[in-house]
Parts: sequence; C-alpha cells; structure tokens
Amino acid sequence: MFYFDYCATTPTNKEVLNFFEEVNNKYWFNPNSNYEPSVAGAKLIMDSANKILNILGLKDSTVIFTSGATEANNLALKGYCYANKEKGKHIITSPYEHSSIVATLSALEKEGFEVTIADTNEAGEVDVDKLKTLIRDDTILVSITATSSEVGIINDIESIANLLTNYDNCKFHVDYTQLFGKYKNDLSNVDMLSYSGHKIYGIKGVGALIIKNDINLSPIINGGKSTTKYRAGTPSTELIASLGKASELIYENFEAKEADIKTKSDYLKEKLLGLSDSIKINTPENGLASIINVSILGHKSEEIQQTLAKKDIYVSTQTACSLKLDYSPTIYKLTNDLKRAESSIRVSISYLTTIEEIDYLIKAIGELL
Amino acid sequence: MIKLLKINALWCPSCLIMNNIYTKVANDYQLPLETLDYDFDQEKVEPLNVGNILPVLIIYQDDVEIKRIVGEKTHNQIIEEIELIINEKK
Repeated sequence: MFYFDYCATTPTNKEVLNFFEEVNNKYWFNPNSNYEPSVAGAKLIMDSANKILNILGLKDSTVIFTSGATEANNLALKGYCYANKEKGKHIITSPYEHSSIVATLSALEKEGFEVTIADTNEAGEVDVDKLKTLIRDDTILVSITATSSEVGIINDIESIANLLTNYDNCKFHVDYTQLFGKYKNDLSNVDMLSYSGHKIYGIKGVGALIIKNDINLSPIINGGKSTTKYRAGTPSTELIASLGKASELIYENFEAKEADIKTKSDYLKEKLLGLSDSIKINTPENGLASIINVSILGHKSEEIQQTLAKKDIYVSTQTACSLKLDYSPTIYKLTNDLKRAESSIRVSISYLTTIEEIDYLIKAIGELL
Repeated sequence: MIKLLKINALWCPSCLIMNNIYTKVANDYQLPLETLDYDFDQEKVEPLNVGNILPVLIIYQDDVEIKRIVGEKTHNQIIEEIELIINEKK
C-alpha cells in the first residue's frame, strides 16, 4: 500500500495505541463518579490537559475534550456566538476553511449572524491589512484556519492574533487541525484553538477545543455535570489520555521530521513537474510542505484517484469531508481555472513517507499521462 | 414579476461567500429571494438540473426561468444581469 492521504487521517502510532490500552485497563471507571478509581481517572484527564497546554506554550487556558475537530469547531463558533450575541453578530472568516467551519457559519447565518469573507493574496493567505478594514463594532469573532487542508495555504495567525488584541469585542478562533505538530507558533494571543487526534497519529474520536479562561461559551451538548461545564457526556479517559500522548509524540524530533518532509516534498514536486507541462502544482510555494495539491490537466480528479487506487496508491480529490462534486471549489477559487479545478488531487505526505513510495507514485502518474 | 431562487449547500464555501451578495441584491431591488439546499431539498433541486457547481442563482420572470447565474460573481456582475432583465421588461 502506498498511502499519500495523511491529511485525511494518519495511522495510529503504536505507542499511542499501547497507552490507550494501558489506560483503558486501569482507568475504565466513569471519571465523573466520586470514588477513588474514578477520581484517579479524572486526574489523568486533567494531567492530559495540562500536558497539551505545556506543549503549546499556553497559560490561563482550558482544554475542552471533544469527539474531534468538527465538534470543537462547532463548539467554538456556535458556543461563542450564542453566548455573546448581545455584543454583536458579525463574524469574519477566510475563503479556504474546512467544511466544518463553513457549514457551522452557514448555519449561524440562517440564525441571523452575518459572515464576511476576508480578502486573500495570490497565494490564498488572508490579507491581514485588509482584514483590519472589515472589523466593525459588532464583530465578535474572527475564525481563520492555520492551514487549508486541501491546498496547504498557511495563514499568518500570529499577526492576525496580534491585530485582534486591539479589539476587545472581537475574539480569535484558529482551526489548528492541519498544523498541529507541523509548526511551532506563538499561540498566546489566540482565544480559541481546535485540533484533532487522528491527524497526529492518534486515535479517531477525540479532539480538543482550547479556550482562554476569559472566554464564555454556551455548550452545544447539554447534559449532566461533567469534567467540564462546556461539554456534557461521560469523558473517555483513555481517548483523552491517548490524545495527550499523541500530542507529545508528534513534537518529538520535530525539526528533523519537518526538514525530512520538506526534502521529500521538494523532491516530489520536482519529479511531478518533470513529467509533463500538463502537471500544475496548486499549493503555493510557501505552503505547507506536507501538502502537494496538483492538477493533471486532461484528466478528471476522480479518474486520477481511481487509477492510482488500482495500483494501491491512495490520494484525495477534495477534502474527504466534502461531498463529491466534479471540481474542487477551493482550487477554482485559488486559480480561477476550471480545468485545474476539475483535475486536481491532493497528495499529502508524512515523516513516514519514503522516497521509494514517492518514486512509485511518480511512475504511476507518468503511466497515466 | 422577478423572483430569485438560490441553490446552495451548508458546506459550500462559495455559497457562504455569495450569500451576502444575493441578499444585498434582493434587498436593493426588493426582489423575493428563496433558498433551496442542495442536500436537504434534493426533491426540489433535482428537477432544476443545477449541475455540480454551486451556488446557482436562478432568475424567474412571471414564474418562468429566464437566467441562471452559476458560481461566484461580484455584486456588480449580478446587478448587471438584473438591470438587463429589468430594461428588457420595459
């Protein structure tokens, strides 16, 4: 198998899986109960939260464990807007957000909130100077993805966060799902941050929304008192602990891993472009190295994906979370070229990807042409 | 009478971008604006053969479709189309 879809999901690190089993064996009690084995589980949850905050260099913040980034994004947007609607109903976002952000904002629009899309430069990055001109007295939230999952555009979230510290009425949410473990940002001015376990070699079914302690949210999952007032339901001690472990492991040997990914990414791009003029790289030059969105003109995206799959090579067309269209709306918006949008695939690599795997992919694409 | 029908989807970024523009045009020209969801209103959307690019804005005059605008457009581009229809009507 030749896997090139690490943005969709990642194989679970054995160490994370073993830790999950270890915690499951010892801490399977309901952490909301008040006898000693449960209290020990609740403490492990708190320790996992503190571990994650330390990894990200965050203080005065709370970790709300969720079922994944989609739930975390829903809680950030709906939870914040519902709790703060007296302060305003204007939200700003970027044109290249994950569908969980887009759909949640669309739903909020139906409920009377107003959404403005920020301008971007040619590389698709949010234009921070123009963003400033969009902020109004009734703007309560800016939600910008750290990196676009389909194309790998990286937004300057630190500059945006710094800008927004000048606006008391406006908070900043970052969908950090695709950048967690791939970058080290100063997140001290980010008010809310979402991410997911299964994108960082953890287990599916767990993620987190990290909020500054002065943020007030309305819960979107209501129920009895749990380890957090923001999200009801019995917490999974083992899943949460596994998220803490995955979060720790992804940053181990960080510089070496990222340098390795960059080398392989450059190699892959060079080989692709060397195949034919009909191959166009859609990921901007300073985009995330592990994402290589490429168009193979003259071939439909699904055809490319299926042809590669027959050779045991797995790539994405759009993000796995979008419904199937004949073209990629993201590539169309970025390039204004329908032919590129109809023929794009997303190749996403990892520190696990080998040069031999890349060579096999290149050979298969060459045979397709 | 001119009426507007937009077909969009919750997950569609271009639809989110166009919502404000459609609403502004509808308000400026006092035109009724109906919305159908690509996923949740499938029975009503299917007969319209909207294809696979969203959003779609269908302009009706006296309940007859006279123009279809597909994908992202600027506010001015939509206005131009509406003005053409109004002027032709005169």
